[in-house]
Amino acid sequence: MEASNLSSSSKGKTMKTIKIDSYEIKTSRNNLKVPVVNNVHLHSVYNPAKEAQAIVSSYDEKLQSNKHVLVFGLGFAYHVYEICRKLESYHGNDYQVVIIEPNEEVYRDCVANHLFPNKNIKVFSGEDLDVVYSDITLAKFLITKPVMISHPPSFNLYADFFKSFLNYEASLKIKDIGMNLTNRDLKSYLYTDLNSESLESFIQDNVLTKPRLTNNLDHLLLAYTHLSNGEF
Amino acid sequence: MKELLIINLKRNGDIFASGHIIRSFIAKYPEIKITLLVLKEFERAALNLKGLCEICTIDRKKILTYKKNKIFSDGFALEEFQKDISHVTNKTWDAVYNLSNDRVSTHLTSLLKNKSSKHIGIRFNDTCNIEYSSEWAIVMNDILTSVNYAPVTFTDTYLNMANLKPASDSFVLKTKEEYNKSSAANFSEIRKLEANGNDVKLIGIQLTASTDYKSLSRDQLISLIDSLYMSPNFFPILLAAPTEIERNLVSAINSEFNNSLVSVEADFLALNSVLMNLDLLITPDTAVKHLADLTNTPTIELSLGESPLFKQGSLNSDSFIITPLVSNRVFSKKVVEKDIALQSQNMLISTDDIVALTKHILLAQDISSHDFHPGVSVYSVQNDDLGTRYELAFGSVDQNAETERLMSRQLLLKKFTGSEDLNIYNVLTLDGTASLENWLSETKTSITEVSKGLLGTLRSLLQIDGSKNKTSLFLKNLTELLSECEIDSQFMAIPLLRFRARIEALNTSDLLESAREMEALIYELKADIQVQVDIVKTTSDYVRKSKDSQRTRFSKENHNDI
Repeated sequence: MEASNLSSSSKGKTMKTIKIDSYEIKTSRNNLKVPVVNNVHLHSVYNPAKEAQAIVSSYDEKLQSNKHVLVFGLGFAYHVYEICRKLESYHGNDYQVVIIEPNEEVYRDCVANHLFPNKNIKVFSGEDLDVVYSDITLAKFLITKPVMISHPPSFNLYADFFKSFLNYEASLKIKDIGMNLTNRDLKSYLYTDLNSESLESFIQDNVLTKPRLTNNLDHLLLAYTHLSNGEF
Repeated sequence: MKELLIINLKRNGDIFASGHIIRSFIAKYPEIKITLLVLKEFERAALNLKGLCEICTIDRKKILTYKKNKIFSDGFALEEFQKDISHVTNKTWDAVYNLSNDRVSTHLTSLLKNKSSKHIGIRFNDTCNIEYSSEWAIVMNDILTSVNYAPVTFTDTYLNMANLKPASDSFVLKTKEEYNKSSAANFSEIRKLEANGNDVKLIGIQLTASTDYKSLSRDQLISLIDSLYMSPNFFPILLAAPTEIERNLVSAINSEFNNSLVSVEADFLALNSVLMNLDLLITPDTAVKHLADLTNTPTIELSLGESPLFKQGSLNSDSFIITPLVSNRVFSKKVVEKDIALQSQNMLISTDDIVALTKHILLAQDISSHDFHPGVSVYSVQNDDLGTRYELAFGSVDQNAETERLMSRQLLLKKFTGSEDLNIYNVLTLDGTASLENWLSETKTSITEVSKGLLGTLRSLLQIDGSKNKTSLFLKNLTELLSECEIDSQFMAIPLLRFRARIEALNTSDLLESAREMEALIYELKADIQVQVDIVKTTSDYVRKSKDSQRTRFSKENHNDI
């Protein structure tokens, strides 16, 4: 998978809750770049690579048994490089890493400084959570139950953002549900009642209370309802 | 028929059982292309069946993950479902067979109304009333789901729904040549090694079922294996699925025999080859039992817990079913799961009984003098014009339950084929007539009561003229008549269940408009009751004959004594 940058210009507004007062790039003693955000060094100023190895080593067993990894915080990706190295040794090229990095500038500089490993990685950066979670590739990735690894300095720095990420609840509204549908007929049908607060209420108000099931999609919605409620 | 879609959203065993239907379709329509729609989690079972053009799946687990997790939009779940079913909704079909007969499959069958020339089974119409494809669809949907002792098996009902004949000669399971060869070679080697001048029979023992209470306990298993192992004619082979739990169980049991037992760890595909090379299978597991039916492997089925004995029992005529007395069983999972006494019924199954039955099947030994454990019944698999008929072969009997079951079957036989199975009357009068006389007396009373209700309903229907009073009177009479569906006797309930199904399928928004249809249905019910009257009459004749011959016998004996 190619690395992809979901830039704020193309995909909705940047996360407003992240307040960046200062940002600079320093060089570690072993001559590696280190981003410093709000005076927080995101990597060791002595040896970022060695620090990354220490972070990742505690996940060794999990990385052997799971080829999907969700990383909270990119920084300049020294830990991501280490994760990919381990995954490659256990699973060859058959692995997938998704990174959530709220600070788009850090991500951009990581790529610009040629520090981004660029292998089987997808980065979500600078996006509003609604946009991030509406991406089906992220949803498909999350249902694989990935190993979750946080990059401690990034996680602490953007604690509120990551807390929001972990506690996110998707909108139940019919207009938002419709956004995730590719079938035009189904989408159009749901949009006939844009005020519905949820799919359940749409079905209740527009299917179950009708004297006749005039739209063939009614059966699709009822089959879906019974299936997803375990009513066989 | 060229393009057929079969929807079966049930579990592994039921998917295997659909093999009977698939091979019958292929036998009748050699050019047919069959697509099977199953839940993704049971795709493995579908992949085991031959003759399918395509297998489509609904990934229920994925849909539920999207649906239940609050981080995901419900749109993902709906999108996934829509995409999954688009493989079948984007095509046109000559027929859609709603085989699993559940709410999801019925809505899918309804969704495909405009894409299919016909449906088999049930689907919903615009007002969500059921559209039955045939009388057999009523049997499937309304009768077999309501009666305690199914008078006809699911498989025969499915075949009849599609107007098919059994095609037992065609082999519908996939096998791998290498598995066939290795099973044959290994089992032949065992036969040679264990022979010692005897003809050694290889008996596969499936160790587990879906729940513990449907299986034999570990001690029971060890006792059974030991008895078979010590017999010069038998050699037990432990069958296990390739899972850690079963592997551990095999290992634990084998350690009791100094690791001298032979076990086979096989997935479904390999299991087909294993079953074909066994002389007998002993199994509490319904999925394996269904495979054994399709490989024609004689089976001793241990029917426990809520396993639907008469709906989905073994079909092979060489097989037998051991069960706790049927009137002591409850065929509802919800009930059994909460009732320790029902769950403990597996303790009634004794090693001696299984071994005796094994000798009967494999060595043709007469076991009429064997005393089966009290409260245990053994059924053999017979055939008549409706298909498989289970007949009590050994053990305990609840005469009333047997009468109800067999008379219900007689009723369906007469209704659907116009013929009777006289053997049913003979079987029921074999061990005396007291119970049957009692049943006759109660049934005659019930027939009178239902007939009165029917005539009252008919009379009030004919008097409907739009006035409120007359309409209310009719509805009251109809409600009372329909309440008879709850009657204890399933023989009595069957025509009423059929009547209720037909009434409920009517569009009754305008009573006056549907009065004529209702009248026709009441007359159909009357005709069904007449069939019951005929059966009661014939039964009475048999009872009389039986008593006459008894009297003649006694009188002869007395005469000889004098």
